[in-house]
Amino acid sequence: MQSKLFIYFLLIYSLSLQSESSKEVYVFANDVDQGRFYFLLDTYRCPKCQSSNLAGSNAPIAKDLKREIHRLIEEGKSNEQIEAFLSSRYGDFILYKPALRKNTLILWIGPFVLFFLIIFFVVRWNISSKKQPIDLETENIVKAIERTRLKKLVEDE
Amino acid sequence: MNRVTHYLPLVLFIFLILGLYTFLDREESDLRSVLLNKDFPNFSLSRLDNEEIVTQDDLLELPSILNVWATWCIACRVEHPFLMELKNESRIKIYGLNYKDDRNKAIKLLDQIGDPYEFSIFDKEGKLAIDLGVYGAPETFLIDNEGIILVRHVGVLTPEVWERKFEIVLSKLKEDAK
Repeated sequence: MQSKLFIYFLLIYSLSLQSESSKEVYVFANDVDQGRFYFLLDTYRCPKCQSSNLAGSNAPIAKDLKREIHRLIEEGKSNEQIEAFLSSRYGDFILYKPALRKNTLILWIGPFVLFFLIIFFVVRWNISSKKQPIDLETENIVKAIERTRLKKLVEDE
Repeated sequence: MNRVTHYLPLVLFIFLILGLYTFLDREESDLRSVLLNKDFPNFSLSRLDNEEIVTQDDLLELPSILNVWATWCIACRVEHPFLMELKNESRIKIYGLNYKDDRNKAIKLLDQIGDPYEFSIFDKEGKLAIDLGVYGAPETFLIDNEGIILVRHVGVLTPEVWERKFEIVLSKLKEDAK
């Protein structure tokens, strides 16, 4: 039984190896360029699949863009130049981190505005609930009664 | 606590829903080409039907449309009859961009179902397609007399889309020319 499982495991594992090996291999002049390549693939969104970055996509267009990025790196282009290349063709859409501009302002300041709004209201609600007069003595009595009730419940169990 | 702040979360929530609804629903405009109102990109690629090299200067009859197609693209077959109609009624010249395809297969297909294009550019590697910001097929671009991209449509070109997105701009062009 055990060995059978093991063989199944090997079979399944070999499938994944096969799919790994079908990926294209990109060769670079040095490790820095290679690192940049994989960094850039992680940075940009695949225009076709929309919910995956270039690295994670096997769509034809993602393959083409990988090839283009590889070419641009080999030509000695900087990351900024490559970003300009991509966004001049595919727009802000492929940037996970959009540029700070008028029409993207809400993306940048929206969360902070929301955060401070929430803080503001939480604080306000806390203050207003604290304003209610609290009779300490009564509260202590209530607590004592609750405690004895709890104790009784536990003992009854 | 007063009544207004009581309802504030609900109001904010409604605004959030409305905001998401309007922004998430605009898929098409999110993917609009950044190349709109810019020059058609320079290219130098082979024609589909022979090895002759064509460039942007070979797009002679402007205004015209450039249609991105491929044999593997099923939606392209859906719009094909309409492209034939545009050609047969001489409503506009159509240039093809054969995208990431097999040359022989593509030539064969056009022989079978008819060729609506003046010629097709053979873009095996998707080079011009990347310059155009294409990410699939079919896509259609309207190029004006000066070689500027005025309209981009992603997806099947239907008579309705033609009317709404292309015809309007074309008639305006004609008016301006007068």
